[in-house]
Amino acid sequence: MTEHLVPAFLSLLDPVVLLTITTGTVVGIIVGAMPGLTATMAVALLIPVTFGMPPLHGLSLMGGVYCGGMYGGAISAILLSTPGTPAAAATSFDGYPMARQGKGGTALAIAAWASFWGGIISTFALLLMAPTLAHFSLRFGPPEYFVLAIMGLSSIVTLTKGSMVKGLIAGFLGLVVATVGMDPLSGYMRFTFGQVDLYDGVPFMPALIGLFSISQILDLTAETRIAEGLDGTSLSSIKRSKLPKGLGGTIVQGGIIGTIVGMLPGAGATISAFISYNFAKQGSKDPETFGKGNPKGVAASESANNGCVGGSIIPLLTLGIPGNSVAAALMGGLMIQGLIPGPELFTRYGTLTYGFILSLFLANLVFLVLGLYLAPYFARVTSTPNALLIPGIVILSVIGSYAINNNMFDVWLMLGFGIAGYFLEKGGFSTGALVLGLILGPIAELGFGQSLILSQGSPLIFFDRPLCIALWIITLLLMIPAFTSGRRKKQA
Amino acid sequence: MRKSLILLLALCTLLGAVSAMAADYPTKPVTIIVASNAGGGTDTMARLFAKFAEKYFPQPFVINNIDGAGGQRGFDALARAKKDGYTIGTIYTPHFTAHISAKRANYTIDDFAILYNLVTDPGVLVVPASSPFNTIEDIIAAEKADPGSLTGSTSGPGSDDAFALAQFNEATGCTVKSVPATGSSNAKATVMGGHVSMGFMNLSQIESNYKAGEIRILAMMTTKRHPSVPDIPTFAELGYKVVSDSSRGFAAPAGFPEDAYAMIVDVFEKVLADPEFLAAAKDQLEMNFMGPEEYRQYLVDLLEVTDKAYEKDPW
Repeated sequence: MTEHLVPAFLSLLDPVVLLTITTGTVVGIIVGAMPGLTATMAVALLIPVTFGMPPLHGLSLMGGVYCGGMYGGAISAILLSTPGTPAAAATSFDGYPMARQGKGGTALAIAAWASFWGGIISTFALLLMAPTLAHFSLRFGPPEYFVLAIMGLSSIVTLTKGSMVKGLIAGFLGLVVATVGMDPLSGYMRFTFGQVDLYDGVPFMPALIGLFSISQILDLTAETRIAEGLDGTSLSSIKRSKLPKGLGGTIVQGGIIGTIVGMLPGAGATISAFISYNFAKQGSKDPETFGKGNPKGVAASESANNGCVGGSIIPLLTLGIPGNSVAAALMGGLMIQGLIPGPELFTRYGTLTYGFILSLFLANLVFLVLGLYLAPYFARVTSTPNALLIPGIVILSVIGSYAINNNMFDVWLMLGFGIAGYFLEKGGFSTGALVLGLILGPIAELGFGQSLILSQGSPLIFFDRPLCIALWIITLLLMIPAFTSGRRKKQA
Repeated sequence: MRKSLILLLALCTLLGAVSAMAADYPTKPVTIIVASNAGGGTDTMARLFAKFAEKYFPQPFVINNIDGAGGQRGFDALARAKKDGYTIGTIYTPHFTAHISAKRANYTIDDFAILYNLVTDPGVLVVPASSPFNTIEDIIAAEKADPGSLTGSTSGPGSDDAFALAQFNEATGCTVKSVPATGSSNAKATVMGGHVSMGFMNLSQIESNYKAGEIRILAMMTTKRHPSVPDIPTFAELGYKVVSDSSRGFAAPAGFPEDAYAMIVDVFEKVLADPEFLAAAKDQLEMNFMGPEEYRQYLVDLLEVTDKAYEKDPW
C-alpha cells in the first residue's frame, strides 16, 4: 500500500484533478440540497461523460459528487425542514428547531464540521482497513439485518417527545404503510388497488417530503418568518469558528456508526443517521433537549450520513458489492474505465485506487470550507418573509417529488402525506417515528422472512448468532434511559 | 434559493424546447424511456448507446428514467408513448414477459416494434469459496442426506433467478428453498457471507469475484459454454435442463413511423459496429446482439416459458 500512496498523492496535485474534485463537490452540494435530485442520479449522469476522461479525473469527479451530496442534504433539512436527501431526515429534528431559534448559521456550521469529520473517519477506515472491514460486513446475514432494523425501530422511543403510546402508534402507522406493495417473499400484491405506482410500495422520498416539508409549511402559514432575528454570529466569526465544544465524542461515534452501517448493502445512510441520533440522545445527560434544537442531534446525524460514504465504498472496491445506490452508480463509473472491483484494484491499479481514496479527503475539505463560508448567507433564507418562502418551498417540494420518478402520482401522494403529517403533528404523533417505521418496515420484514426460511421456521436463529446477540444487547442498553427516566418522573 | 429558482427556470425552458412540434424527422431529440433507475445496468446500457448514437443521428437521445414495479411502469409508458418516432425505450427480460404472464401488464408483445437486444447476462449457480460443494452432484448428495435443508438466494419472485431455481429443483429433484433478496448487491452479500447454501445469479454480477477466487461457479445456465468462463460446464453437459438468462435491449411503440424506424435501426447497426462503443461496453455489459427479428422471436419463446412458470407457481 505504501508504495502506491506517494505516487497517488502526487497524481492528485495535478490542477485538473483538483478542479474536478472541487467541481464534483459543488455539484454534489447543489444536487444534495435540492429535494428530488439525488447523488445517485448525478453520478449516473456522469458515467458516460467520464468515459472519455482519464480514470482519476472521472473517479474524483464522481467521488466529489457523492461527498458533496451527502452534506448538501443538510442545508435544506436545517433551513426549510425539507431533507434534500432521505439521509438528512434525522438532521432536521434538531437542525430545523435551531433555524427557528435564529441559529441556522450555527447549525449549518455544525453540519459542515460533523459531515467533514464523519467523512474523514470513514475514508481513513477505507484507506487502512478496507479488506478486513469488507469481510466483517459479510457476516451480516438476514438475522442480523432483522435485529438491526429492530435496533433502529427502538429509537421510536427516543423520537417521541410526549406520550410514548402516541409515538408507538405513529411508528406502527409507518410500519402499516410500509406493507403496501409487493410481498418481497411471495410476490403477492398488498393494498395496491391495481395501482402500478404502488407495486414497489409507497414511494419513500415523496412521503418524506410531504411529512416533513409540507406539514411544516402548513404550520408556518401562521407566522411571518421562519426565524425572527438571526443570532449575532457574524460572517467572520462562523468562518473562524472551531468545532463547537462538546460535540467531538458525538461526531466520532457518528462517523464510526456511519462507516459500519454504510458497509451493509440493504441498510444505508438514512438508517445510520437515525441510529447515531439515538445513540447521541440516549448517551446524553439531557435527552429531553433533543428535538428542540440540540446541536448534538445535528452533529450525530450528519457525521453518520457522511460516514456512510467511505463505508459504502469499502465493500464496493474490495468485493464489488456497493453499500448503497450511489455506490452502485459509482461502480458503473469504475467498470466503464475497465476497473473491476477486487484485490487487483489495490495492487495493479493501486496508484489510481489510492488516488481516488485520497481525493475523497480533499472533497471533504472542499465542502467544509464552502459550507462554513456560505453558512451565514444560506442562513438568511430563514429571515425571508414566509409570503415569499412558502410558495418557493411548495414549488421545490412539488418538483422534487415529481423528479424522483417523473411521476405525477408521487406529487399527489406527497401532498396527501403533507396534510396527514400536519394533523398527526398537531395531535402529538411524531412524524419522525412514522418515517422510521416506513424505512425500516421493509428491511425488518425481509430479514425476518429470509431468516425463517434459512432456519426452517425456528425463531432461535435470531438469538444464537454472536452478532445478533451483540445487537440485541446494544438495543436493550439504548432503551434503558428512556424507561428509567420515565420512572424517575413518576416518582417525583 | 434564488439560485435554485433560476436553475428551475432554465430547466423549464429546456423542456419547452423539447416539446416543440416536429416538421421533418428528426427535428427534435428522441427520448429513450429507461425502465430502471439511474445507475443500474439497463441505464448504463442506454446512456452508453445514447452517447455513441449522437455520432450517427442528427439529434441527441435523451434518457427518461421511469422505473418501478420491476420495469412495468417503464414498459407501460413505452407501449402508450406517442407513436411519432420520438420515443423509444428499453425492455428487459424476464420481467418484460413475466408481467404479461402474471396478467399485470397493460401491454402485450404486439404493442411494441422490437429493435435490438444488446446484452444477455447468463444465469449461473454459485457457491462461496468456503462451501463444501464442488459439483452439482455434491448438492444432490446433500439434499439426499438432509432433504429440505438447502437454500438458494434469488432476486425475488418473478425474476430469472427464481425461474432458474424452479428449473434446478425440477431437473435435479432437489427441494432448494428460495431466499429472495432485494437487488443483486444484497443477494451477492448473502451468498458470499455463506448465509445460504448457493446462489442463483447472473454472470456479470459475480464475474470479478469468481476471478478473485471468492466464489465458485458450479454450472452455467447457457446452451453452450460461455467465452468469458470457458472452463465452467453448462447444466446441459452435466445432464440437467436448466437454461436461464436475463437480457436487455430496446423497443419502440408499435405503430412507430416506418421511415423513423428504419433510421433508428440504421443507428443501432452503426453504433453496435463502432469499435469505441464496443470498447466502452465490453467491461461492464455481457454483449450479445440480436436483430429485430431474432429478438422478437426470443421474446415470444420466453413468454411461453414464463407463462408455464406462472401456471405452476404464481408469484
